[in-house]
Amino acid sequence: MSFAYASGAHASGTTGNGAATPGAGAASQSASSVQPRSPAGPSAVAPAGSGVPALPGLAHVNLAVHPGDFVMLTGPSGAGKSTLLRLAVRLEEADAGVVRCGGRPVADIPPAELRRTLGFVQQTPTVGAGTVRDNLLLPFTFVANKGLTPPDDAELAGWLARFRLVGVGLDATAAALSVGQRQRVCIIRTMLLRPAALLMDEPTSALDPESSAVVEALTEELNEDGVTVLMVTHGVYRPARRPWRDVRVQDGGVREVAVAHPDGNATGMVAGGAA
Amino acid sequence: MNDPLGMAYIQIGPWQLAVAVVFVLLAGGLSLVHHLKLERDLAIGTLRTFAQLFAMGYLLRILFGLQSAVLVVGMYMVMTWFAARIVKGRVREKGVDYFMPTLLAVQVTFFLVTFVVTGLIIGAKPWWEPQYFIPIGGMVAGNSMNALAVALDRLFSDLRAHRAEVEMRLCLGADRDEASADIFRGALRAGMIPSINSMMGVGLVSIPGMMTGQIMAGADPADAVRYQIVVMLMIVASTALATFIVLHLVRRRCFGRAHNLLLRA
Repeated sequence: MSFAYASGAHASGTTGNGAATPGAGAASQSASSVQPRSPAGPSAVAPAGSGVPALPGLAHVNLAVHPGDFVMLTGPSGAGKSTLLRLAVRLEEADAGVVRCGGRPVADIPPAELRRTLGFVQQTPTVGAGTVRDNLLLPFTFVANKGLTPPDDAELAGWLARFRLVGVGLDATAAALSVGQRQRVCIIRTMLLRPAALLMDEPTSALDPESSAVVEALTEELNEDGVTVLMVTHGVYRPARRPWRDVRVQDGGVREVAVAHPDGNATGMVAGGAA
Repeated sequence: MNDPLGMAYIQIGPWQLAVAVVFVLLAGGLSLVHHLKLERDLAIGTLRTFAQLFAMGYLLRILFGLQSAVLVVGMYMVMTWFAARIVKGRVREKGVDYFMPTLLAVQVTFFLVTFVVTGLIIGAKPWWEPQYFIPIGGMVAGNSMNALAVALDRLFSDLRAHRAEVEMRLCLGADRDEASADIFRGALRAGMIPSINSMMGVGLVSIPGMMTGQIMAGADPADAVRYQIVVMLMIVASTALATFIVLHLVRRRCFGRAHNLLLRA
């Protein structure tokens, strides 16, 4: 799954990105219209002439994410890293600009379908009442997912084992699990919808070091299986076994800082560019 | 007992009324001594009580005399509009506009419930006979108003407090109704419970206001009881109906087109 952000692609149509409409799963062309930085430099500057702030606080974002990418979103607090993720799944709506998923503007994709494709993992793991099984099967109780076959207990148990939740039974009360265990249950729950990408908003910030390490290792595993990862982070974690892109969110824009490989080679990137 | 202007009871004259003001002065004294800063509100509240009730009294006298359907409709519009405004004043939510849904909920409830009571149960002729339609409707609107304020307040505060849970469900494919089903139920319950609870204590502790009035006006307590039972039941229905309508209309306004929660923590 590819997706791309472009600020300033509002009604007047200043972006050339509209031409890139690959099918789902194909690589998107990089967003080609780079908004000029405003000389004044405040973070919520609208593209010239529009009079409307673009993505909330994100006036100059152009970012293309390709299938299989592992993107680390870094940058200062309040820069809009989480907002970028929330815009992709439409928990927030942009005032201007466009976010595309598989070439289609996300505004044209039914929310449930969009959110199945781009799995969002919250910062604080949120489980509902009931057992682990109840929680894992929750997505399959929603009308929009009624066409999907719910996984059976064997499949669920397989996921729990894979996520190093061996001691946790499907009949355990979900709310009684540790935060780290809950976060893993939440990631499994998201994965059961077979998303093309995982959008993770500081998924380990509430976790102890051990749980964090497990979640990080598993995320790399899923990425190896082909799941695109976009992770917001404040911490020191960087993927150890997967190539990853370091995208810095700052001053209302994004800057590709580096593309790193597990062997330690880092390639410096040009501002606004894409791999 | 069908003669509201009958003189079978002891009337309260202006001097007796003035003596009643001593009650407020007592409360005001307490406020002064203990620095409660309630003197202003007490004064305004007392003045409003006098002004609003006297106005209502004269208006009703005119209304009952004229028997005009147009005036009854006008009264209905004014009463429901004030009810909606008072709810708005109490809930104080800035993120969502809920005035029109509140007004609609009060109006539908007022009309439906009051029509059933005056037209079908009491059998007033015509069914909008102001002597019945306005006081009964007033009780319906007043109790609906309280239920609406409680339910809306609950809806908004729970959506804010449980934002993470709502968004968790949204991210897993829930629509706005599925994502807020528990919160909707909680708000509906909150709106309905006070009127249900009032059925528990009635007749054990308090003699309800309407019954008190009828008895003091000389009605047979057994007759007054039947009226009061109808009123209790109708209030339960009113709070349920009004709360249900308003929550349905307002909940969708708390979400954007993408089924995204608009209320911030």
